[in-house]
Amino acid sequence: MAVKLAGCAVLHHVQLGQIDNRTNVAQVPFEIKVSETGVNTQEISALSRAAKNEVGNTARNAADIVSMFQIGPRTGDPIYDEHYAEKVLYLIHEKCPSGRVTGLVSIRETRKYPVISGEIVKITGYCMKDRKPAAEI
Amino acid sequence: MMRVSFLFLALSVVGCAHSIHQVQTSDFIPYAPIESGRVVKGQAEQFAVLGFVFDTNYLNQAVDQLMAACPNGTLTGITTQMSTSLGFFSWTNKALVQGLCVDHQN
Repeated sequence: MAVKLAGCAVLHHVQLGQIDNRTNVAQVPFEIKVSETGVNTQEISALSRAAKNEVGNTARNAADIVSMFQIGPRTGDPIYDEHYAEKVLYLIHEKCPSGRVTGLVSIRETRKYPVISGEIVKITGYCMKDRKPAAEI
Repeated sequence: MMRVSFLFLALSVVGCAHSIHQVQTSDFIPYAPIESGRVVKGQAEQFAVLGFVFDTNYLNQAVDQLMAACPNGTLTGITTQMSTSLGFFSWTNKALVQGLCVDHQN
């Protein structure tokens, strides 16, 4: 429960696309979310330091070594699969096979927990479908 | 034994960490189902050592690749992913652009 309460969301980037707001089409909302687990080695090091025993010292040393190999600009915590968000284009077409997509909002956010995080890419939008004439309903 | 295990774990994850900075999607105009075209991509990288970079127009290469892959068509639904592969006092910035190439009929 403590871990659950400690979680929080961090918004990194949002982009809004074109909006086709014609009234003769129905707009069906959809959402795509892909995510990967991030690991914060600096937090591992800090927690291991607090343990104050040999196991903690070894874990801290290991985390510090790993940190040296993870230098560079970061958004959220480092992940170990860089391909998890590459299929977004296919997923959008899966949600809207006609390709009549509008109102796209691209969101990059982090759901942060102690040591680990969820590195999230979320796309929301609307799939446009022709309205049926009243006589057919 | 514990120390060896931790060091083995540390070495096993060295050199394979990444950070996805942003993934954004362009408009889908002209509207087209995915079967009506083909997905094309362009990608480019920029190597950096301690913040010093050698290629400041690497994104242009990715865009040029994307345009070259769709010479007589319209690109729609372009997704752009900017990421970094982290390393030992150096890193590699990466750009990946993908889109649906819809060829013109005439």
